[in-house]
Amino acid sequence: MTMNPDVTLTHEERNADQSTVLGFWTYLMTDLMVFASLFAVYAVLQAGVWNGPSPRDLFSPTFVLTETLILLASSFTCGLMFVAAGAGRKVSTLAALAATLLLGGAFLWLEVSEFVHLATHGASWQASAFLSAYFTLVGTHGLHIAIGLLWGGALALALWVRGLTRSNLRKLALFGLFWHFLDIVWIFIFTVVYLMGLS
Amino acid sequence: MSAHYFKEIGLIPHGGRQLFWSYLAGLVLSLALTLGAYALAFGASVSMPMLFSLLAVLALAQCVAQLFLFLHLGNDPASREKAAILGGVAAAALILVAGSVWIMLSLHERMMLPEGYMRTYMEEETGL
Repeated sequence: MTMNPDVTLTHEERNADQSTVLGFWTYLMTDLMVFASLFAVYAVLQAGVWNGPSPRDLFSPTFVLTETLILLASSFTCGLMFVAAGAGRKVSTLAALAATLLLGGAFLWLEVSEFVHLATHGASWQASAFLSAYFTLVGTHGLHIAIGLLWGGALALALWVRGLTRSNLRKLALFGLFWHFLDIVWIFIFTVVYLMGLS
Repeated sequence: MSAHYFKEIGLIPHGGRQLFWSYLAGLVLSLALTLGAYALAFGASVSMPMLFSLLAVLALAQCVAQLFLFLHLGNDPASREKAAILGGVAAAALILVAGSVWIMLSLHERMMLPEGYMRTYMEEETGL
């Protein structure tokens, strides 16, 4: 266990890492535009059920609430990762990262199982404009989660081997931004697709 | 110390205990807003436009809560840079979504006109 590693930065190093964080934030904002486009598509096409199933026939409120709470919990454990890393506690950081990945994995498992259930019960993405838009919007979010899980797994390995080095702390910072961002996107999917679609 | 590192690169404004409380407050607030929206959508009997507006407000409130408490947007220089980029992109996103819905709803309304009316309209407007 590494206790309080002294990560002291030179002026250049600090500027470089600040730019990295701001650059990554800018990437997230372009990703926000991707999601905004898909939300626009969904908003326009959601009424196009074309005699097929509507949101009310397909989604279960309790199932979606479970998904939402799991992802929110993972966003919280992702935050605990910074508390642990900030205190220089490598094992706690790894534990919080593992919890985040497990919760994220559970969320993705639920989402994929719902997709499979829909696709095998006559509600695949080809069934109507609504379902095409639904699978594209929610699937894109799920793809981000899947990439986050792979990234987080690689990060856990790097932390395990090298500890809380400057390079690992920087990667941790970017991963955290990415993960919190995905939970914020989910708030709107939860509201627009599920709550508004079901009520 | 590594808490210092996150501060230095502009990720968090504070370190230690305050950071933990910020995440806990974010969790509790998000939980309350999520459950509130859920209860409203499936429990309350309000009119559709009222319900949708309330749900939108709750979603935006949770978004703002997470921006402050999970992503630590604050009053420091790094936050102001991030907030400026976010503001621009959010405005563009809003125009994209609201504009698409507006245009398509308007198109939908025009397509729903009775056939005879449509013919008259086209004759008047375009001389067909």
